[in-house]
Amino acid sequence: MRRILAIHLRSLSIDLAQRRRRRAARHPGAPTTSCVLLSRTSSGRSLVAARCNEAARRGIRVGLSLAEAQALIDPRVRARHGDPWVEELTEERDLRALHALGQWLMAHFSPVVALEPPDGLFMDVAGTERLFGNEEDLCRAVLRAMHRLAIGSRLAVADTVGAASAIARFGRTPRQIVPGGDEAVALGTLPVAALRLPEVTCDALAELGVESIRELLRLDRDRVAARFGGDVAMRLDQALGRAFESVTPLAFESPPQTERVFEGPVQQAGTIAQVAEELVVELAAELDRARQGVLEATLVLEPSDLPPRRLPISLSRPSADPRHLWTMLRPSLEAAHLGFGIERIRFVAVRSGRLPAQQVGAWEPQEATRATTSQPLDRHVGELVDVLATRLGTQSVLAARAEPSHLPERSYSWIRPQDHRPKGPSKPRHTARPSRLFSPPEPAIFEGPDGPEGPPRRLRWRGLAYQVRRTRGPERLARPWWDESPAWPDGSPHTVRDYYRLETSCGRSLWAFREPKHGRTFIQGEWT
Amino acid sequence: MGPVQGIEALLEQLGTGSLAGSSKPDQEAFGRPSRAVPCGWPSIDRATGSAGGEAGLVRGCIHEWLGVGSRSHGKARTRADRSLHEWSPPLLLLAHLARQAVLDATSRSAPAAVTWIGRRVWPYPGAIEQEGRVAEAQQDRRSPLPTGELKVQLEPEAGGCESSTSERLPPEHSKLLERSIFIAPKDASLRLWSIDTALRCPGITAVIADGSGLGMAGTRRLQLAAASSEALVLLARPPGEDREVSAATTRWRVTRREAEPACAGNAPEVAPGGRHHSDPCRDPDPRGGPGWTATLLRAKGAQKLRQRQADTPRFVHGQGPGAG
Repeated sequence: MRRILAIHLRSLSIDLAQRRRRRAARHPGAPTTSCVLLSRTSSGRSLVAARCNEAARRGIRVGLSLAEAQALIDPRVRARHGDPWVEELTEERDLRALHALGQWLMAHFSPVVALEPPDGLFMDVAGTERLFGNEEDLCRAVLRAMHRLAIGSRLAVADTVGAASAIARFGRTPRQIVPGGDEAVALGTLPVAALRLPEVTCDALAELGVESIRELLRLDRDRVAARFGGDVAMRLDQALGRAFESVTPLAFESPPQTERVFEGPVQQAGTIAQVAEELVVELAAELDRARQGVLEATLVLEPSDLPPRRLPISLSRPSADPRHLWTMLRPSLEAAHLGFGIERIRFVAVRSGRLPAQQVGAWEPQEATRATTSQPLDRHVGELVDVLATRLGTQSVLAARAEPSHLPERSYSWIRPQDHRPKGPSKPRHTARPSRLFSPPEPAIFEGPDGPEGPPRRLRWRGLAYQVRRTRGPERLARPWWDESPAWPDGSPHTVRDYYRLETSCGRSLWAFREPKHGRTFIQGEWT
Repeated sequence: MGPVQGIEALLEQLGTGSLAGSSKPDQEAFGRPSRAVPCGWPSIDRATGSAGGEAGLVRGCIHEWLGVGSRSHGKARTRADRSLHEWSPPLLLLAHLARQAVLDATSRSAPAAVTWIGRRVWPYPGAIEQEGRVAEAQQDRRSPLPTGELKVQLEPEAGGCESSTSERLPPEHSKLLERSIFIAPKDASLRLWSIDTALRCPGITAVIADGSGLGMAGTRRLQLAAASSEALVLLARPPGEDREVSAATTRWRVTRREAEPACAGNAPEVAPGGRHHSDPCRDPDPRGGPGWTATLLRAKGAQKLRQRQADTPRFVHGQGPGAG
């Protein structure tokens, strides 16, 4: 006997787009809009293909042009929260997400999961409901999980695929369990479209006044088949369990891994290190055969008396070099606590990527690969970055990226060296900037011939007095008005700053500024 | 290499002005040609160089640069004390040398990544994004080589730090910022390990690191690591550590360009009504900007120079103790 749990994802595309929007909104400075639209291009025009609930409340309908839809949003809301989040609707991306969701469900709820593109999933839950209590508890667990993933869903459990799918899509409640044999009753009130019939057939039945499945069941079976084809009868039989329907379950994709099981708990660190190194070499060879490289991997030590201990490594670029992997893994393995002994070791490649293509045996292979690889880092430098980041932490190994901002503190941001650097300002900025920047700026006192205005002649800073020999400036920097933040990065609310380059009589070159509105003066940098 | 035979031979060798000749045995031992990074500063290039005859700072050797600031080690009680005792690495000079190393490496199409190890030597990225080169000022004839001291005046080229180089380089050559990796170890031992690890990476062309507090053992370890690499190693050290022993090949002191004799040195002073700033906005000196004096304090194998001055070269046996 089968028990089929059907999941209908009501608004998968929009939910996925919302997840992407939320992930992007974590970055500072991102728009705070919660309105999401999906667009498709039809004969050169961008139309709304799907919209979120908030957009629906604002009167945006599917099929409007994108410009019209944007105009429907209150300009005050747009000024405050930014434009709505618009994406192109891509079926392939949604299908990939559905596949990933199926894999995830397979790991958590049931070994048999099948896809029903574009927005449905089936699970055979016969037997697995006992792990959660009963079917009711299982449904609740699935709904909770989907809620955590922020994907709206409706469920139904029935004996047949057809009935479960129909009730999940057209049932009255988001969670419905049909006891075995009651399919005909449960399906009775549902519309004919729930039987997964082609639209033409549904329309034809509607013309005859056949709206619900109960009415369809009352008709003579042979006559229906003669008039509308065998499809209707077959779908009815499938839904009611009179005909068998097969689904193609997903194959479980486990990440590549190697493992060793010891006969008993092993406490010798040397043995464990040796076995772990063997595992690394085996997995690297296996991945290398498939021209894959490790991006993230975990060494799992399973002690006899403790929960498994995980030693993760992450790499800046795919690598199948066992020596490099082992170099990164060894420090954490040496520091790992072995407890009363390890019974099992696994090395899992959690995430892997394609190795860069290599041309073998052609002219000047090194030159060719260097020219064609688009990786941001040289291989050796990438390995150095990995080794340093493993020991020092990823926050301690950085690269600088130029940002399109003229504020000195915001002109550059720190990124991981392996991240792709989009092109900054195409022309390097030609204004002089100091080699050290004090953040926040340090207060100083200027004394000049014109009082607080004008360039200073004397300067008091960090408790010492300096004589100013030469002044250059001012260079006026203003906080951008289009910026959302209400202040400079150091918290000053004023708009304008006049920067001077000062040379003191003892040879120091300082970068100082004055806020003209209040006359406060600061030192922000030095040429050293 | 055996002892030098005769004064004439020694003087002839000295005539080439090779200060870093000590690296020769090492380089031969490793079977590689020795390379040097031309600094772009003629006096220094002329005085230093590899055994192979290339001018500039030798790769695979440690070069220490004492920073700018006070040399005293007093206990800082007040804010003024602290600001008197603080020091900063000569970042613009180090950035210039790093850029030279990158140019040298790219001209040989070798990998050219630069690491900056230690937050103290991280320059503000705006300063190294520009093509700001540091040039040698007109030479000071009063302190030429025969006195045993090498003192070079350096200043940003062509009117401050604005990028207007006389010989315009192609833009793809000046990507120092893109080739830079900034590393912030948490303590001194991790810093030493980071420098060591970076030196063992073949893709690195220059390692600029905070070398404060490194003793003989630490620098020796780094020197051994450097000798097997092609990287130019620049350590920034506090000015107070000029008497610390180390395994470095050269040691340079950097001081700010002394503006007026009245306030030479680093102690600032207040002099009301100076004569130099009748109109501070109008710059009388078009060069302007900061300036430095680099002084060669010591170099391995450089005892030859001192001996030459003293004219007692008898106990000079061959080269120095070697770089690696």
